[in-house]
Amino acid sequence: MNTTWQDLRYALRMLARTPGFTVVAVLTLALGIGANTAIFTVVNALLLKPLPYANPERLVMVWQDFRARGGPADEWASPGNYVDWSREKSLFDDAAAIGGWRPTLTGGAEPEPIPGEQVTHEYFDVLGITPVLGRTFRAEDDVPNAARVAIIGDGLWKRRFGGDRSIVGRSVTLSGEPHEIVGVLPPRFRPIVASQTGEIWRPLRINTVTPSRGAIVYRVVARLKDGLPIDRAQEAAAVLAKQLEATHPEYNEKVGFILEPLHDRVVGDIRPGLLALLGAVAFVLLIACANLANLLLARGSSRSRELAVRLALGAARARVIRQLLTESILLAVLGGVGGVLLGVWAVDALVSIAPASAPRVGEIGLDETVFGFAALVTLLTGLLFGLAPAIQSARADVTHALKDGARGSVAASGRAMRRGLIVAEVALALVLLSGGGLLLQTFLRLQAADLGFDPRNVLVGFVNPPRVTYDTGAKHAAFYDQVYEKAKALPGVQKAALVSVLPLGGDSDTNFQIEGRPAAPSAAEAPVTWYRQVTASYFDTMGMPIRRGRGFETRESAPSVVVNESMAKKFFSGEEALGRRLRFSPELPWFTIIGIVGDAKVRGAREAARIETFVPYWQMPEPGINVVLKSAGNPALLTSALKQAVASLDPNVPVQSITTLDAIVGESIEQPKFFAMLAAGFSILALVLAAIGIYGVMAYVVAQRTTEIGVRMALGATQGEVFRLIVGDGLKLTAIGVALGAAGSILVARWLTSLLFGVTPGDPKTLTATALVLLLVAAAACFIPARRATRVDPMVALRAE
Amino acid sequence: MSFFKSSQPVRQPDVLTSEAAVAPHALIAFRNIEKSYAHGTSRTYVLRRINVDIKDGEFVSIMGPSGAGKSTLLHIIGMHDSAWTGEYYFLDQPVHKLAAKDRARLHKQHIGFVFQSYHLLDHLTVYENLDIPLSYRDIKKGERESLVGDILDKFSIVGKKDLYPNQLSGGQQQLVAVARAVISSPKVILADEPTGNLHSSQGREIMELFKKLNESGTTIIQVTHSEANAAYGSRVINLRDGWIVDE
Ligand SMILES: Nc1ncnc2c1ncn2[C@@H]1O[C@H](COP(=O)(O)OP(=O)(O)OP(=O)(O)O)[C@@H](O)[C@H]1O
Ligand SMILES: [Mg+2]
Repeated sequence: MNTTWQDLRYALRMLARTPGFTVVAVLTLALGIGANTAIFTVVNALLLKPLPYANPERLVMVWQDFRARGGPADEWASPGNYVDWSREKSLFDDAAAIGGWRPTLTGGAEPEPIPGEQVTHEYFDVLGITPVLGRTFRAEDDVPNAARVAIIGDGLWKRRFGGDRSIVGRSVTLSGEPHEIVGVLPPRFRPIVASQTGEIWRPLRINTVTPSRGAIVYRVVARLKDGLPIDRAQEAAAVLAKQLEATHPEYNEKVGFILEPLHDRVVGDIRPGLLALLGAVAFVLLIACANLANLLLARGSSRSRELAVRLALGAARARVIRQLLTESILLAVLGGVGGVLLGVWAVDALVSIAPASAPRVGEIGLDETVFGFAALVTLLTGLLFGLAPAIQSARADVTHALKDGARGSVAASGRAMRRGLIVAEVALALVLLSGGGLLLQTFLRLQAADLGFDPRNVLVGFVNPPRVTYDTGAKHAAFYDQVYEKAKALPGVQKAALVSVLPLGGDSDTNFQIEGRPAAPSAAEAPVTWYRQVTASYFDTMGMPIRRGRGFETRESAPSVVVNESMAKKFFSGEEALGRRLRFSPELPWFTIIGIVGDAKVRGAREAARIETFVPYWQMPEPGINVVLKSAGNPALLTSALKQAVASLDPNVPVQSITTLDAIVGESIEQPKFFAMLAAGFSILALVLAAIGIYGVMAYVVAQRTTEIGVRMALGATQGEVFRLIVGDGLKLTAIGVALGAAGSILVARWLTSLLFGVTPGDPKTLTATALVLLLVAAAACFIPARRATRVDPMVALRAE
Repeated sequence: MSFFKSSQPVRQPDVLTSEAAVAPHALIAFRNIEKSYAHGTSRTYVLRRINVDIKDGEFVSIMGPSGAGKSTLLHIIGMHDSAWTGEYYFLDQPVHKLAAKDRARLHKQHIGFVFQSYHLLDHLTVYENLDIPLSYRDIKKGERESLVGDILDKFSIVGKKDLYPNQLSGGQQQLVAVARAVISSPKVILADEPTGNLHSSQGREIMELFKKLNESGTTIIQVTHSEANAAYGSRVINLRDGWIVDE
């Protein structure tokens, strides 16, 4: 203990005596540890922390597996599926169905659309949530025609009701219907599905006696039966799927059931990107360590005489190593403290630029795990950059060092280690740079990708008149007509259109049958198309070209559809599609194909165009429609005009989710952008650290080689030759590092494959470009030391004898 | 037939100036050379009004107490130092007027250096050390190999060619250093206390070597503290406090 204290005091004194060195070292470490702390904080909150529910590891999402029918593996459930599943008590303790809901809350200054969910009464029990006020739902709330009740979230409670504790029992109007508020949720509560922003809930009131099986409208979350491992549950679910296939062949043919841990679903596709970032910051820290090891080696050789004296006075080598390690760990701790401070700031910055689609952002924060991580990284860092130089220095040959301080075995073997560190640094930096380059190119290519529609200067907003007052398709259609006419006439609007579902905004699909072809024997075999209800002006407003035939007439009365090229190709290849007719269900008329429109990538650039059909909205009206306005200038300027136009038709109908189509497209590539920006930032940090490292080593080398350079000059070397000697030396090390790094980045880039778009992991252009950047930076870093070398005065250098 | 072939025919410098007439036959001619260091406002003179002619083929020893300016004088002759005043003619060329580049060319072409502490490069083998001066002169690889081979032969150090300097004795190291100075066939060899770190027997060996080189036409200028070493030469220049006190 006493010696440790002594070591520590001595270490402090050494650091204080070389403030320049100490500041550079602590800053370098703070950058490295700070970056790691920040990214780890995010990883911790998103990937590691348990979800904020009771025993969250027992929660699963239950999906219908439609892959055997050419559909997704995570198809939602019909009420029938849900009822069947929830009765399976050997499998689930409880299961809850979740449906979408976005009611308009009236009674305030303006009608306010509130994001919410309709859930079966088991929902809060499945998640294990207790309300702060009132109660959760009961079975009797959740039957058809039960009295309307609702539970509100903490945000809505505080914002709209001022945190009034007498709220329970009060009635509010939601989309025209009165609802009694029966409970308020705790502030930590987060709904499980994508948006995570829900603030209001009401019971689904499913008819469990004769549930519908055709409409696939719910997501299902369930709590696994106590003690049942997930793989056994999955097997049981497969057996259940077979049973239900037999009982309901018309709906369940070739449909499997899949249990997905809730955590996987919530984390979603952000995991690979986050892990890549964690790798990136680890590389940054390794480079920082290499720099520090170099600094310490350089200092070690200048202290070799001191160490030799200590050894000569009888200090054990282990004791000397310990002394040196105390110094490096002290440095690491200082750097770690700085790093955590930097990390706190960086986490705030990260949260503010996090993509809106990122899950669990609200849970990001420092906790014991993060501090533990930072402490561990700090300690490991101290050992990593301190151990090698310490052993190196303690190996000093006493007699040699005392006789001739300038040139000893320390200098010679330290030289190899220093050069090795440069090579390693360059290799690490190259891997990071090329990875960052790949992600950056991915983002740029996504951004430049042609989606098949023109999102520029387009304002969009969603109009959803309440179903209580607009209770028929005809009433909806009539209201949309008015909205369309008003919107079209707004000043500044060049073109206007309506569409049921925006590109990148979700989807609805339907089975169909082609006239003259045999009907599919079952729903499982029927062809499927996505469909959108549109105005005649839609294609023109969106800049989607009609390839053949024509678009709709303004009031097209004969049932007609326009199909996209993919649909024409898939179902009518080698045949004439125009004039053929299709039907979405036996009760609807046959629709004639009057035109073929160009494909649009409505799920974003990464996904192929879908099979799509467009129907005039007045021929098949559905509740809710999007207004699309093309303006000459900034479309956002039309916002209030659009709101007023709709309010003048019906003050109880708000225009929701007003935004621009560019913003929607931008949001769809926010995640790749986030990763690209961070990776690029870390690459630059790595590049700067590597440059500092190369500069430091070369400067040290030049100082060490002053006599040699003097000798060479005395033997006839010109300044140019000396310059080339030093730069060449630096570039040779860099080239070795680049070669190793290139091999490394090809290996590492494979892990990035799932994140990339438009570039391959081993992309030779990216590698060449990053290698060139590194060589240039290395050359620049060598420049000053090399220039200094050319100024060596042989007379002075040789006089040092 | 001497032990060493005489050096290559002297390439006549391409610039001949009128001052050449000042010192027609000297290899090296100093006229009023002065060297001083500034200390704030005052100046310390290290060399004062040095006038000396050294002819081609001489073997000169510079002697004097420590701090007299011997090394300084040698570095000026060797053209490492250019911060002095006065006139310096080398092979009738006015060094004091030459641009740094031309001076470097002159130095490279005609001057070889030997140092008290040898200054072999630690991380290079004997062979590679000998190759350094050649690498700074436009000589083809094949020719360089034969030149290094020749010199290894002449100095009887073929067996040592793959050793590193720290595997050699001091005398052997200095032998390699002399070989390195000779390999580019300079007209002049400048040696600053070449035997200062050697035992007397090793020192004698180096002096014998210088004598032979001198006999085969190379001009030798050495700084030495030893009367015995000076005796190998034909002339002594005595320096004291920067002045030439006698010759
Ligand atoms: N950079 C310098 N600044 C100031 N004075 C210097 C400098 N270099 C050398 N001197 C001085 O010049 C004088 C001559 O030095 P020089 O090395 O030529 O002496 P020397 O005769 O070779 O001595 P020694 O026999 O000890 O090698 C000395 O007094 C020395 O202190
Ligand atoms: Mg001297």
